[in-house]
Amino acid sequence: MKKDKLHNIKSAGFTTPKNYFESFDDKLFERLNKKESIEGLESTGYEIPQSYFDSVEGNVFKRLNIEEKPVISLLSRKTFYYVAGIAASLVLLISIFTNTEVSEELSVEIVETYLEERNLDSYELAQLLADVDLLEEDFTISNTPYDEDNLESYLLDNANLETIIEY
Amino acid sequence: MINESEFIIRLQDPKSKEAAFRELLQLYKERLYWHIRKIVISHDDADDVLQNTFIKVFRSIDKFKGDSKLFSWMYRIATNESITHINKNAKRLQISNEEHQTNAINNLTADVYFEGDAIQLKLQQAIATLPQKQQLVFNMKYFEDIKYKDMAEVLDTSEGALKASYHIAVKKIEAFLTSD
Repeated sequence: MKKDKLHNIKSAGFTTPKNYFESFDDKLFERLNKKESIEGLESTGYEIPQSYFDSVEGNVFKRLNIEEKPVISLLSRKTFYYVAGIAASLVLLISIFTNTEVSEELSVEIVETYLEERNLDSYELAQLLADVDLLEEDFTISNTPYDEDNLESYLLDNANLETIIEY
Repeated sequence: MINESEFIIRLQDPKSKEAAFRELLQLYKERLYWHIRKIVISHDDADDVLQNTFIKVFRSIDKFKGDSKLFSWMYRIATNESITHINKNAKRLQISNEEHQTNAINNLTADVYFEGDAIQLKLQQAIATLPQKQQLVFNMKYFEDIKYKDMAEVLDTSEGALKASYHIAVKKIEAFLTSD
């Protein structure tokens, strides 16, 4: 029986101070009563000037009249929509114009380097081609007649002698 | 077994409230304590949370409608109070809840109220690595043997989800225990 198997651990190992549960009730009631007596208090002890609340309203309106300038919050929803609308159209305009200027044609080199740097293996390439029906017309057939001369010069230019010898 | 609805009536009646509440304490304080202790780890924290739980129960028993079992209702309060307690402590110390729990476990070796051996300590460390919900499910099922049906009421989660959580928790813990 291995000791570190989960089903062999029966208890968590925690203990409590002696007589903790026996004394818990009294401690709790003591706290409950203390809280109760605090909650039973009707007033906080704070006092206010006589007829304070009657004057609040008047004071507030007095200040409102003095400072009666319409305050338009910058963060109101309506302005937010305006600003957002303008910003969005600007972004759209800029992106349209810059895109047309920079637009670049896909050159053979770009595609070639892309394919080279992606490190696509033949398997992945085959997967990309899987859905395409390849037709004979798709391949350009060179009209160069192959004779000994140009075959030789082609091999001299392009083939590595050592690889040929290996085969 | 006492009749629960009668018991609740006695708990809600101001005349019998205190006596009934003492009975309630006798019935549940130990179970709730162990439930809380496994969440908050240290005895002092567990004591705090247990008191807060019963104070809350005492205060809100009048509002208890009886649409769940009294036991699940109190377990739910205890669970929420425990999690709130951990969050509060972690916030005070400006650390994350996970860090707070890891610290609590690391302090266990020095805790006089932890008598576990090396493997029990390792189990606690393993539990601390679980997400909170899985910790709760694991403790409730493994140590407290609470039925999934009751657990679903306490944690407000479906039984199926709880079973899955428990299964995942056990797998993770076993992996932790057998690793070095």
